[in-house]
Amino acid sequence: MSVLEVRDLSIELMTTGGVIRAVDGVSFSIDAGQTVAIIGESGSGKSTTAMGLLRLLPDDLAVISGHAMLDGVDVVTEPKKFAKLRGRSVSLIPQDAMTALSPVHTIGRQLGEAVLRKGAMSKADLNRRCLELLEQVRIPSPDAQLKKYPHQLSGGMLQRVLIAMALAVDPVLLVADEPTSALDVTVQAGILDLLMELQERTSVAILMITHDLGVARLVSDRIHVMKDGKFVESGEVEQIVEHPQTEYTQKLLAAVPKLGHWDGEPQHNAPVFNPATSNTLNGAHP
Amino acid sequence: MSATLQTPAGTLPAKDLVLSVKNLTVDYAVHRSTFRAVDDVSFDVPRGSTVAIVGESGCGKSTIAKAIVRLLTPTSGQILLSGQDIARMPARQLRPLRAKVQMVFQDPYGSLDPHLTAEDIVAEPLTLRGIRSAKERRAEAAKLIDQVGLPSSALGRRPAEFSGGQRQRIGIARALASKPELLVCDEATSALDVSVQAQVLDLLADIQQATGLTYLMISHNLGVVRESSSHVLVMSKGRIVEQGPTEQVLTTPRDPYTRALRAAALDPLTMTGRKPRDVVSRLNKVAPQGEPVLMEEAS
Repeated sequence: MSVLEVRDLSIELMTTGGVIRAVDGVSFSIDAGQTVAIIGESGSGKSTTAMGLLRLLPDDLAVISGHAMLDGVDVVTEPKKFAKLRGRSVSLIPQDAMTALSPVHTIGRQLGEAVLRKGAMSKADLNRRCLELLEQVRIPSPDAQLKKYPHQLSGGMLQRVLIAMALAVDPVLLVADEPTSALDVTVQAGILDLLMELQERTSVAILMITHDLGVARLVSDRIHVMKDGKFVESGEVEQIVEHPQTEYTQKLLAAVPKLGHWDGEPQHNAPVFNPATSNTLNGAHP
Repeated sequence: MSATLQTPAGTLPAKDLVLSVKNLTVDYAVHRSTFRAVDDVSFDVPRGSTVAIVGESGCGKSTIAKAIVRLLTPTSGQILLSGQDIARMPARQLRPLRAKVQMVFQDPYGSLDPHLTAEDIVAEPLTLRGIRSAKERRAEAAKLIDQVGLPSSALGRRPAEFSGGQRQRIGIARALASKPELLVCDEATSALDVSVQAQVLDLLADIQQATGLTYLMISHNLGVVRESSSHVLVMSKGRIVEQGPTEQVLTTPRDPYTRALRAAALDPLTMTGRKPRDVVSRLNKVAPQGEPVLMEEAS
């Protein structure tokens, strides 16, 4: 049963240079408990797709067409109904944790606000729920963190707070826009692990927007490769990474700096796409 | 650790070292105390080589870059540029030497003056090099723009008209204009898409092959380090925790921190395990003792 069903979604942006079709007829669906990644380079339209689906693009500058069914509501044609779902059935985990939170309000105040989207509750209940959420995202000594301001926490911890806020409303869909791009790699693994653990427990569907093929490979079930507003290739994660069909995906994979094998990890023996032997890539990169 | 691992440079005569850093320490003033950003760091950069410094945010790698180009004055230690110590050299004495070390910055959007054309940007250092004739400067700027793979039509355009990758090429041309002996690239490709990053790394390699230029690459990306450098220093908390030939450090890292960094780096083509949990468990296995990596960020 699909949580999100997108059919023929197009988004046109009004810019000073004219109308740009940033998203050009994409279709995809996400089931409960599934993670679907849209990967692409800057300007490919991946973030516009996510923001369009959340109706976070300004109405006078972005024209959305097509269909996107979420929780029985068509996001495209029923914006008023959808406004009630945003922050309830669907939540966003933004990219930059440092700027996503208000610098002048405490973590507790901002997390509490997200919790109250679900409905009013007593102060004591609210506090209890906030502590529970911070524990769920494995933040140490949550009691103390609630009283802190964003600048007093590290980037990884702030990202955990944002995940807690997104989960506060028990959403059916999480949209994660580059949730780990601003973080160090050793912190990234923990955040992705946390997301997957929460997904296992709550069966939330995740739409992951990323430019990082490694991240996409690690968390997603399906990958859509986006370029110039269109999906150039879609498929199961193994298929995309190990047997890319289109030249663009092959080039993208070939451009990722190779790390090679190391002694801390068993050798990967599955047949893997090898840029060096692919004919289409001659001269793409040494 | 750094004392026991000899750099390949250690066996070369001193004149073949473009840069030799000895016991470099940089303290920042924080409130009423100091924070030691770089702590007793020593390394050599042989002429014509590429040496990389890798580490996570806050490890001190950019502070080292800033000290080498003397955007800041180190607290103690030596920075030998072709044998001459510039660590605490007065500004006036330093000025003629500044051309020898140039920097390519991380942010291609913030590091170029938006009011100037590409030609102005590249030609400015030529004035400092003593080229007085405007005609000669223009000819030299055109040559540099061509060297970084941009069309001559780029000369009259301003930064806003270029993509991130093209801007980084202008930044490289500007750095080359002073005829440096050492190019410090501080996360020069981090803001770029992977395909553009590959092109810029290729360009840097081509320039090195043609001119024998020496690079110090500052990066947080192990993949970039592997593709660009022959020798790598791994930094954590202001110290070099491991150094050696890049291939050796990446395939058989010895220090727990390097192992953690390697375990967390994701290469979509060669990584094993299909779940973040696999990465986390590998991370925790190699994490420095008593200091679980995942909790390190908790304050």
